[in-house]
Amino acid sequence: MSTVAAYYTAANPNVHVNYQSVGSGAGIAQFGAKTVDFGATDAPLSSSQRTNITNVIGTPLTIPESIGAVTIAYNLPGIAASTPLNLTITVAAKIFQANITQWNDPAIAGLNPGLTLPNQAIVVVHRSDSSGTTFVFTSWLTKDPVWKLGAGKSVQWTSGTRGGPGNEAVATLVQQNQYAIGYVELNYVLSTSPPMTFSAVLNPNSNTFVLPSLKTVRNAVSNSSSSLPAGNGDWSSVSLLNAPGSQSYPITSFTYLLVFQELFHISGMTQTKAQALVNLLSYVIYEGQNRAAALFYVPLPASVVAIDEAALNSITFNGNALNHT
Amino acid sequence: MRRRLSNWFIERLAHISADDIFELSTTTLACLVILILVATFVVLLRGSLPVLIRFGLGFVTGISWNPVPGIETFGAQPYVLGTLVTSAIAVGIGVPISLGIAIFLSEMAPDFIINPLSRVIELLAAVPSIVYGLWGLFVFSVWIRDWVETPISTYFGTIPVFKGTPFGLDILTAGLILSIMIIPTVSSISKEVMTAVPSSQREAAYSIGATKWEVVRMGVLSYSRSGIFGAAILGLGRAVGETIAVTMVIGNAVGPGAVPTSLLQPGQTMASLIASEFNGADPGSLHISALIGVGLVLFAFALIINVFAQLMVGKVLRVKGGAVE
Repeated sequence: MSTVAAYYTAANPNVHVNYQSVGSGAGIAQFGAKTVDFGATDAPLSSSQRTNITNVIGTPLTIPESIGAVTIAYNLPGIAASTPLNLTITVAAKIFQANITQWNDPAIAGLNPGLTLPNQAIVVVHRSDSSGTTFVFTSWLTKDPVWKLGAGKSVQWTSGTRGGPGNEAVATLVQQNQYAIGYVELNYVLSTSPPMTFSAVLNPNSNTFVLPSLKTVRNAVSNSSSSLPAGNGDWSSVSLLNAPGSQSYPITSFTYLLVFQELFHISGMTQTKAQALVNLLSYVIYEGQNRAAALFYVPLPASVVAIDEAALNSITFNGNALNHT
Repeated sequence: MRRRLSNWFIERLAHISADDIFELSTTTLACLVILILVATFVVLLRGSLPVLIRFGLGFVTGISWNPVPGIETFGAQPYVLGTLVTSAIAVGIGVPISLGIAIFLSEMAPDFIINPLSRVIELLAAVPSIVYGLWGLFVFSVWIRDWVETPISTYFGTIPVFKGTPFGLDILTAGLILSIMIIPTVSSISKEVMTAVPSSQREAAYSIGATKWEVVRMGVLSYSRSGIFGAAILGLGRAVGETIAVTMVIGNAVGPGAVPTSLLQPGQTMASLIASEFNGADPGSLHISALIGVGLVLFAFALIINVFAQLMVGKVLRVKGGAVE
């Protein structure tokens, strides 16, 4: 979002976008307090947050802005990227909470008959900062009853696991340390050099192992889009985890923009500012998506863009519709 | 009556000299510092009330740290211990090195070296801690892992304090980074204290046939003992409060895994925990309150150390004045 905002400001020098990364929780709180014109969050508004905001201020619009995917990256000397490690959700959960501690554990070997796994201890690397990536990854792991640590932006990791601040740090730590495993956003593993190795994850619909890629992540979104609500609906139960489709990558998620349908109630809002805001959001949805691939993000499929378009068109200022460019 | 009163007033005004105004304004500024300190304490106490009410004294002694909503438990003990252990390593390694530097500069170095070398050491203090952190994460931790931890783990791995997989991000690395960071403070103050030792002390020692080492030990070190102690406490204060560099290299364990048991295990200090998790914690949640509570404990901790240091520094100044302890 910050990159897209920078592109937009460069193209429209009279518009100043003040975009602050404060964490999704603080973002939602500021959105609900009307101190910001729009918000961006990894987690959609909960039903109670949505009801509360609707009653106090007005209808919030949830606009999927970008798609993220979490990969399970590892550093196993002698195992080529062309023959990736296969993991199921159960085995991944056991590795990340240290129930499985050796690479040649029968549970891992059973999924990877073609690989010679080393007799070495597994070093688990996780995010040390509160992050949306941890939220998505642990939310996925929670779908298996083996996982005991719960889902959240920070969880109580098992003894002996290592934390690194940020995707960058986790990616580097996995690359620097043999026999390490960690979870990293797809765009980081695709853009690092030398390339990282990451595992194929079992898709529960087809019982095949699916590698994360721009294509398999896009599949997850396209195959879920028919069940998505409208922009002014309740998105709290929307999840792209274990999405339908035989070639969908299971650990996929949306990032959302939050904006009010009626902008008149926002403090300091004027007709001009409302128009500029709608133009910015439109830029994010159309022009921003063209830039997504270069940043190794998955562009939104047409079906999702259509939902966003309808939501944008419903934005009004003092009852008047705002046409966007 | 009216006239007399105004006369009295003018008379008083005439007596207010520039000095009085100067005194009043500096007094106000000095009181401001106390006000800020009290305000900080009040805000920390108010912010941490929810967690203190929920867990009571268990918040300080507990070892569990689970921010996942619904199953929250918070205990600060591992981070208090982590702060103590990393600071102890820092002082244990940093102070002897600093003393060596100080003795060299005050007793042995030829004049043309003293100034440039002192400047270089002071330059170490000017390096921002984020730079130490990045260097520690991407460069230093790899050296430590390959050249220190791997041999230690191979030969002494069965001793409890050296248990664990060499990874580079652990209590040992954090302690070593801190020891480098406190060197400028400790060495420059120690040097000042030693330089202030009257020459008669050294001459007396030489006159009874003392060697160079004996002169330093009997004449200089014993004379400046309390000043050096004050310098070490100031270094300790720096180590306790250091945040970002530690956050990047300590491995960021949470909960029972963060209780420091081995130098090669990841840990967590109070400051690094707050830095890692505060940004993403949801406003109004118990998690935020717990982090503020950790801040309160750290505040008390740092206050005690600083008061102690102030007392010692008072002695440093007296020694500089030429008096014996």
